[in-house]
Amino acid sequence: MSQRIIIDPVTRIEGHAKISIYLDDAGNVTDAQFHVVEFRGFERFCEGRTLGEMPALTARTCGICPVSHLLASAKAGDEILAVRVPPAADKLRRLMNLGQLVQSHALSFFHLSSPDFLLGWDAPIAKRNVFGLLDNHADLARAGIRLRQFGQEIIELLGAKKIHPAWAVPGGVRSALTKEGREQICRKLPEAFETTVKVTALFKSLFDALQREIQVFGNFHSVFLGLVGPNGEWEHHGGALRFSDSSGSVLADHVDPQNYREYIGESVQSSSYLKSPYYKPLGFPDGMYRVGPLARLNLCQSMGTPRAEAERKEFRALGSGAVTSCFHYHYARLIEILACLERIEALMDDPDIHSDHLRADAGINKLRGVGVSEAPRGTLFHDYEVDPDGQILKVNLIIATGQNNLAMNRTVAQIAKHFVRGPKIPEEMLNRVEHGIRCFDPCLSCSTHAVGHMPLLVRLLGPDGSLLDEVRRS
Amino acid sequence: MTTLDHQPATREAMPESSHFAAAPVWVVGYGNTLRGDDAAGVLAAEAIEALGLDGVEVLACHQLTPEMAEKLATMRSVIFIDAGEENQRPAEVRELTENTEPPVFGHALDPRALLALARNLFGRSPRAWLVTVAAHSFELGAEPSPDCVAGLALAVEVVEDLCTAKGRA
Repeated sequence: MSQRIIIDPVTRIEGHAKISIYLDDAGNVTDAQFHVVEFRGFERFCEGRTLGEMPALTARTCGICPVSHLLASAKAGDEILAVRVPPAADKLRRLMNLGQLVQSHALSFFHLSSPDFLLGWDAPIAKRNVFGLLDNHADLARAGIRLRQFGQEIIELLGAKKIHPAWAVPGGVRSALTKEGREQICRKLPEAFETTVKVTALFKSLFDALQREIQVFGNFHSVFLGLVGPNGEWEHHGGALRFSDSSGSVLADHVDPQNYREYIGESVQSSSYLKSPYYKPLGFPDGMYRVGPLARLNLCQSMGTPRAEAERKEFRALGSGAVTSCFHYHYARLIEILACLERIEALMDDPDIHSDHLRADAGINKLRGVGVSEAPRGTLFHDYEVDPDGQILKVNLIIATGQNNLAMNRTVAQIAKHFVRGPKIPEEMLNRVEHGIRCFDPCLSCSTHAVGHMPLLVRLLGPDGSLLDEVRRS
Repeated sequence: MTTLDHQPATREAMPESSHFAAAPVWVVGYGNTLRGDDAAGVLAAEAIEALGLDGVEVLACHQLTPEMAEKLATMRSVIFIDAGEENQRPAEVRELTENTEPPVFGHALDPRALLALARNLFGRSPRAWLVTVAAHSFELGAEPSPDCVAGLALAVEVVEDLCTAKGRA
C-alpha cells in the first residue's frame, strides 16, 4: 500500500506551500513534491498596462525582491526601446542590485538558516530561531541585522523608497547617488566586510561536523544556469547566459538572454501553481537545473574581485567538478556578499555614480524585449510583448524559485529517504526537510503577506486519502 | 494580514526616560497594494501622513522586516496598521505585547515579533498598538472593497486619536 506524508506549510519561507512525501508498500520514500498553492495571476494582470509602468508595477508584486523585478523589468524596457543605457545608469543599477544581494543574503543566512546549524538541528523549535540565536550568539545576530540594513540603505539611498523603488525605468534610472549617500556607504563598508569575513570563517569551521547534512541536503547532479561576464566572470546584471553541468563542463555559453526560449522550457504540473522550467536540450524532467548562489559560483571562472575569488577557489575545492550539495548554497551566499561588498567599494571610487547622464530616451522600436538580472535567489526573466504604442500584450515572468522547483523536490526526497523509515514521521526529518527547502531561500510572496503565518502540519495519508499519521506544530 | 489572538493586552506601559518621551510616534502601515484589501495598512498610513501631525513619523511599506527593529527601539510608541481578516468591526485597535512565542520567522515579521526583536537586539521596545481594518478580498487588483474603504476612514480616526492628546501614544 503506498502512502503519502504531507508537510503543510513549510515555516520560514514566504507564501503558502506544502510538501508531500510518497512512501512505497515497505514504508520507504519513493518521491517527494514541494507544492505551491499560491496562485500567481500577475502576468495576466499586467496585460493592457503601458511599458513605462512595468518596472514600478512589477516591483509591487513582492515585498521581498522588488529590486530584482524592478531591474529586470527596466532591462526588458531597454530592449523594447532598443537603447543603450548610459554607463552611469548601468553602474547605478548595478549598485542597487549589489545592495539587494547583500540585504537578502544576510537575512537568509543569519536569521532564517543559521539557527538550525548553530543551535542544533534537533534543538526545540521554541529555541531554534532568531531569538534563540540572540541567547547564544547575540553579536552575530546583531551583526546580521546591521549587514542587512547596510544593503537596504543602499537601495534607499538610490531609490528613496526601499520596498518598492520606482527608480529604474526603461532607458536608465531617475537619479544618481548623492555625495552624502556615498559618504554613508563608505562609512559603513568596513563593518560590513568585518561581519562577512568573520561569519564566513565561523561557517567553514562547522563543515566537519555537518558532513551528514552536506551529503544528503540536495546533493545530486543537475544543470546550473546563471549570467556570466564576457570572460566567464561572476555577473549579476549583464553578460550572457551560461548553462553548465555537474562535472563543470559548459553546456551552452554566450546565450543571448533574448533567446532564452531556445534553451528553457516550462512544464506545468497539476500539483503546483509554480511552473517548472527545464533545460530544453535534455528535456523534462532530465533538464532539471538550479539557479542562485550555488549555480552562479559553479558557473563562473572567477569572481572578478580578489577576496571573493580566494573564497571561490576554496568553495570549488569542495567538489570534484561542480559543488553539488544544496547545503553549500549558504557558503555561496556568503561569498557573494563578499563579492558585492568589494564591487560596492570599487563603485564608490567611480565618478559616474554622481553623473547627470542617466537616461536614454526613445519610443517603441521593438515589439518584444527580455530583461534578465540575477536576483538573490537566481536568474530572473521578464519577457514582454507590446503593441506599437507600448501597451503590454503579453508577459512571461520566470522567477528563481520556480526554476529551482524540480531541485527542491529532489532535495526533499533525498532528505526524506535518509530519515524516514516506515509510516511514522520522525522529528529529525521534519527539521531537516524544512532546512533543505530553506537552502534555496525560496520566495513565494508575489502574493499577499496574509499567507505564511500558519502552523506546520505533517500528514500521512493512505492511497484512499485516509489519515494515517499527523504531526502539527503551532 | 496579522492573525491575532483575542486576548486583551495586559502589558503595563514601560517607564520611559524623558529622551523617549520626546521621541516621535511611529505609524507603520503595511500590506500589498496590488492585492485588494491587503492594501489597507498602506492606504491608512498615507492618509495619516497627509494629516501632517506633529511628532508623528509615518512609514508605508509592503512588509515588516527585521532592520526596522533598530528604529523601533528609538520611538516613543508605535502604531501598526494592517488588514484584519478576522475583524468583527470595520476598524479595531488593541495594544500589543511582545511575541514571546516561537515566531514563524520568514522574510517578513509579525509586529509582535518585531517588538521582541527590538528589545532583544536594541534593548527596548516601545508601547505599541495594532489597528486593523476589516479586509475580506485579497484578489489581484488595486481597488479595496467598499467595506474596507469604510473601515479605513474609521482607522484613520483611531490612529489620529492615538497620536494626539486624546490618545495614549
